[in-house]
Amino acid sequence: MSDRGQAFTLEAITASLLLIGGLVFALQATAVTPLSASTSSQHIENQQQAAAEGVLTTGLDDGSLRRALLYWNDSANDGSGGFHDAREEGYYVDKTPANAFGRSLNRTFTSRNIVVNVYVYYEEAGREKQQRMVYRGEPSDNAVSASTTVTLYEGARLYAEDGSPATTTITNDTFYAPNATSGGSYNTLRVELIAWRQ
Amino acid sequence: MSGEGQRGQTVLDFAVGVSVFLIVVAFVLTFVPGMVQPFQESTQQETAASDRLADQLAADLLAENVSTPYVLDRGCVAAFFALENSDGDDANDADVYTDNDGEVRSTLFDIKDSNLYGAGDCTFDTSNGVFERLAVGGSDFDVRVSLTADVDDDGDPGLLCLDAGDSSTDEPERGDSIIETDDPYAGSDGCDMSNEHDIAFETANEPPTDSSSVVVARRHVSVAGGFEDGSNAATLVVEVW
Repeated sequence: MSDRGQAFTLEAITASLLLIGGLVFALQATAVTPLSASTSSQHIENQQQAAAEGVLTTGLDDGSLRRALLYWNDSANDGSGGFHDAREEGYYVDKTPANAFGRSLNRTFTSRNIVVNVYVYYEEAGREKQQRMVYRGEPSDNAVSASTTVTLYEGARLYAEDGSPATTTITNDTFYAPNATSGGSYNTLRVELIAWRQ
Repeated sequence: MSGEGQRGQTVLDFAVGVSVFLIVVAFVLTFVPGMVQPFQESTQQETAASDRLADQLAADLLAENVSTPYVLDRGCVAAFFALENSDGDDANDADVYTDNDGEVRSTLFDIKDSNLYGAGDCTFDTSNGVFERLAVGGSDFDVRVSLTADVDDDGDPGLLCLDAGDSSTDEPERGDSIIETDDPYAGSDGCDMSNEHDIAFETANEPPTDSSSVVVARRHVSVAGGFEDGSNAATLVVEVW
């Protein structure tokens, strides 16, 4: 005891390091998700995923998704075309389309502070090209996605802004997707919906 | 003095050493329970159950066809929510819920005579009670299922209800219109479960008002045949507590 000098502080620091080391090890060994407060939650992501699937499936079933794909104004933006009443890029950035599919998106996502991007992929010369329908920005890391496919046939008509069928049929000139097949089908579109909490 | 003189700074050193050690021990002791807490008080069971029930209802039990999930069959939805059918016993006119006692009259219609659905139309067994159909019969959590939509266009989705007719003897039929209601027992907006055979699309047990322990799962669905205003999109809400 009498000749130990500064040993006590050193021992306390060693013991503390051991304790904190044990705590850090325990922290690393447990899942962090329930501890960290964030907008990410597996349950919420599951709900968004299921809602996205529901919107696409019901839209496909009642035809509103097909009508939304054909909701195209071929003379907009000096002839380069765009969705009805969209911004000059040709797609919606600050709202959803004014048709049944858009209202369905609104009710399910926008009204609950979830934002969605809707991309339409089509085939052009054997490659997959993308046309945006709704673009609200870059999705977050916790975004979910769902997709479905819609086949368009030759002779299908575009829809006017008020939702009624227009006289214009879809051709390489009037529609964003070109005629990709020689048969009666026109092109197969894949609709991808990406949803995330803003 | 000579004995103490050889000990250097021991008294000060001892004080510093012990306090550092005690502070760390206290810190660890307070931190560890907080680390384990989210696992102890979690609603993991309810979360998994609500998700499973919503999927099961939207894709199988109420679906018109298993190849088109989220598109619900009109007759099966009505048969699923019908109070008379909730205990799975055709002969028993009472319903299985406790929260609506005193609000519903005792003589309910006989669902087996109605034309809501044909034999084998619905994938659930109507001789099972509601909670057995959902496979939560023996579990220790409670469930409320409801179907909501904004049919009257007031911007606020409300509970849907199959309007069987204004006479107290009108029985619900497949073709009856589906309306939105604020209170299915009040009868002020067409849906009256107290005096008519209307079927509100909810199971009647109420979740506790302390909502922290209620887990909600939602599905976007459509009901075949549509509603009063021609729309057909609804939200299926499953609450588990």
